[in-house]
Amino acid sequence: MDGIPAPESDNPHIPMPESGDSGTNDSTTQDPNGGPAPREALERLKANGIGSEAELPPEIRPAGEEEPPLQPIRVSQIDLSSIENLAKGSVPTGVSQRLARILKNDLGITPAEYRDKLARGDVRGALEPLVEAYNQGRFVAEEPGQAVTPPVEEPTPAGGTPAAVETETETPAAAEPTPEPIPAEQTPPPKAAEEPAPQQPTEAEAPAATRAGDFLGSAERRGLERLKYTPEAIDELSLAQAREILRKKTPAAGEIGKPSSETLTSEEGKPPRRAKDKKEAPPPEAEKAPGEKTFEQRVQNRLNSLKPSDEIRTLSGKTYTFEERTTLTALKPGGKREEGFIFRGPRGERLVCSSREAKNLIRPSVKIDEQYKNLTTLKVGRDTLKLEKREPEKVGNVWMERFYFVDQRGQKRNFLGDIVRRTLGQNLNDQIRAERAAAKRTETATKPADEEEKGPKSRLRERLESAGALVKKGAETNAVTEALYNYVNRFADKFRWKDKEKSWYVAGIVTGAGTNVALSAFVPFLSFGPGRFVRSATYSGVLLGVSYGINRFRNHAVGKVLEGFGVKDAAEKNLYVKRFDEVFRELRKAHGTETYQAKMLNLSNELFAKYGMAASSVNAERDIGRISAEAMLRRIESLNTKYQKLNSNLRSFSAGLTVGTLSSTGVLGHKEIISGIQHTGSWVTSLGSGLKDKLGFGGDHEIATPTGIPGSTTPPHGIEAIATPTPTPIPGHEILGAPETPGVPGAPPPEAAVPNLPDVLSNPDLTHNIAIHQGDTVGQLLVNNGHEVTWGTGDADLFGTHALANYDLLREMHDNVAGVGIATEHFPTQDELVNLINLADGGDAAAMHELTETLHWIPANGEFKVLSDTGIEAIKKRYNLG
Amino acid sequence: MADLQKVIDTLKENNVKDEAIAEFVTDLSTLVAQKVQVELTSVLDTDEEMARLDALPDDEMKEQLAALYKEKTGKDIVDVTDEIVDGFVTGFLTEYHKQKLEEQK
Repeated sequence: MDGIPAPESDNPHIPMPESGDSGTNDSTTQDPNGGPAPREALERLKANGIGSEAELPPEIRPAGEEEPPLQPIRVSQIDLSSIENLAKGSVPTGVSQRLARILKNDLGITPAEYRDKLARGDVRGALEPLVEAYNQGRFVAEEPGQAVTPPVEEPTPAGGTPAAVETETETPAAAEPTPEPIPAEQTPPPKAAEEPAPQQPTEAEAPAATRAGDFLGSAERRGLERLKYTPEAIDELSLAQAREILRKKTPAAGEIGKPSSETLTSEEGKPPRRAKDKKEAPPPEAEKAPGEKTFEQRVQNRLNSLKPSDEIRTLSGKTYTFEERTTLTALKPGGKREEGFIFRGPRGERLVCSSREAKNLIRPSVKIDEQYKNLTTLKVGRDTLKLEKREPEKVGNVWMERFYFVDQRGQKRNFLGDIVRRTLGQNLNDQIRAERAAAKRTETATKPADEEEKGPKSRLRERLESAGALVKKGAETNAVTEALYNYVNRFADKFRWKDKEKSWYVAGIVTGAGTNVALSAFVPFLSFGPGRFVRSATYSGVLLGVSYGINRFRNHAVGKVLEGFGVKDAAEKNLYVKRFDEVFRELRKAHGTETYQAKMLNLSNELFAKYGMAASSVNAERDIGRISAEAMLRRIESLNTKYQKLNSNLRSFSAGLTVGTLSSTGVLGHKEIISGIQHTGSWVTSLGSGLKDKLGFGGDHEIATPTGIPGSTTPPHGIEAIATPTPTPIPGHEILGAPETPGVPGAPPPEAAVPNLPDVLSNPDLTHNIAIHQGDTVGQLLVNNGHEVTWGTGDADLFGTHALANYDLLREMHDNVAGVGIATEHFPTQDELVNLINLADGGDAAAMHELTETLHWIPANGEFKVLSDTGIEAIKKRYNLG
Repeated sequence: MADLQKVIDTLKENNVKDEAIAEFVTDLSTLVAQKVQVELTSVLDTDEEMARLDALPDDEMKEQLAALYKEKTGKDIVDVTDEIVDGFVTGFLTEYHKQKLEEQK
């Protein structure tokens, strides 16, 4: 093992062993291959007073002498030196000698095998036996006198072990570069099999268990890093997870040692079965029970029956492939092993799950399978399709099922099984999201007693009817309800789009240059001359927003431009559309303009080089903007001329949704606002004729224009302060070309499009500090402060934004702990955190786990920043999340 | 859900009159509705789709439009409307407090 530095004991938390292993680092005993003969080594050790006869390693014990009783090892005695000495092939004495004996006698692992594991980088294989030995009670957890684990039984020197021992004695382990495995029949029976049921833990075991966790933590950090194991190998250990289980779930007395269907226990003197063998085991009790099984039982059954290559599809459409079962060793006193499940993720990542996590992963899949199997109706959009028949159909070389449906109008529709399955997944996802959203809204929305479930449709209807409801509530028709009614209709009338100018107005929004166009929506308010701060804040508010529709237009335009370049192949075109999309998204970043320009130039040049000049233009970027605007104009033209009913409904739909959303914030209930609306009522727009007639309201009002107060001959106060529009890239609105659209004359460029972190963190509306007490967890802090925590990947934003908001605090705590050799995990950089959030948000459970790991580093007596919902949104904007 | 109330409180703290606040809310409605309208229009990709929707009764048309939006963008238009308002509130409050802080320095 070249390159392994000398062992150190610089960790103040881990005392050096009583009989120092450092003594074994004498150059004369470094290498048993080239070193002194066993007897000489024995004499030298005795002469130096190192170790005792009882602790002499079998390698140097004279033949025929019995192994003396093994002294128990305290956890505190085990440090890296012990492991390193094993790894280095030193003649082990003291603790490492005892460790070697435990490994060999109790676990059937020879020092040679152990070294081999380390040499191959099999860190899990190397450290798990130690954990296993701990679980078997081979280590005394506390100082003598406080021992709480069962007394260590010495292995019988004669009997099953000698063969292995003798083999080892005759052929020193280090002499074998690739040691032969011990035949199964020669493998000594594990000690655990002979021992009675693990002793019930006492409260004193909790700190002992924690120390064991620290020991492993130390091994990870000091040992693995020093031994130059790769991060991947360290990751394989999942010891962080094990430690977490140990710390958080130190079992109550009586729990440990109980048989569990999810725990692999020893039986009939055999070592604990590995999970791979479990498929041969009889099914769990629930499966045998007659009658209907619960859903959870069916999930458990599915888990039990998982076979390699089985695919698990999540609701987000990701596919995880089951690979194999494994055993996760829980670091609990009393020794329990838990079945683990290894999946391969969509990006090839390895996901090691406990059975609870695996159940979470497969639960949606089970649900969908059941619905698929018993399908009678399928909801597609608004239609509920009735199944008529399902027939096998060969698609390529694969047999699939085709489902034949009929909808409410009697129209026949048919889908392949894959589509049906995907639709079921989407519907289930919708249902879950709707339930979550409905639960979130219970604070602000009044839920009718007879309404059991608020799905997307009812939410939509709720929003759409909101405007009407506001008016209908005041059936007696007072000035307030009328003012509200006017308010609702005022902006609806702004969407007539009857003339070219207004078409361009909207097209301007679509092409992104409309940022400044959108500012004109606030011209009436700005005409009141609000102060500088409010005006600037309003500009910033206008600039932030979503742009799913804009993205669609843009991608459509990119496709057209690519066709102009002669990119005909669909796959190639899709690839370029995606790449262009990525480039345009640079504009969403705070300082992404330069990157955008550079990447756009490179991509355009690549196109030119590959396909030559486009037939119509050489400026792909400008073409994309032009085509986007033209596409929008064509649609508006069609809506204006051919589909006026749809056009009208689009407007009232948008208006209704808007009013519904604003009214759900509660601000429309303000007397002052209603009063203000009444005052402005003299110049607000006239009522929309349809709603006006239906509700029986009257009143004619002058129609407001986007340029100021009607009737004013001079620009309203405040307007003159607005500068010429500038096509500044802003988040949420990608600028696709020169602004050919009319904006607000004189509109200033936005000053701040993306909130910066210090601003967010110092804003009392967005965040507040909470004192961290001993034992607090971030999850509890969030729950205590009004956040709903489900602990699933749906909480990626919640946890992720809090990790970002508290980054310095968490990082400092981690580094402090790492400084004394306990912290082991790599603490992610902010960029890595953002990446983790995105992955977790997409349903990646492993990323979610890693994300929540970062939040464990909260210091007692510190202050944790809890974000409001708005604060979370601000952080998301800042980091361009979701 | 965006805390629009905080925006209103901010306006009041800055002595913005009730009439102006009412106008502010109206203008915000305009902005949001414009954006929602663009979002919805963006999914009307073909003449056939427009014709099909146009032929439906009003209520059904809106629901079908929402379903079409969901199908093509993967987003619920109600959520998107919330996000638009959230975006405004976030931008507003952040910029406002940033300026306040700068002033204090």
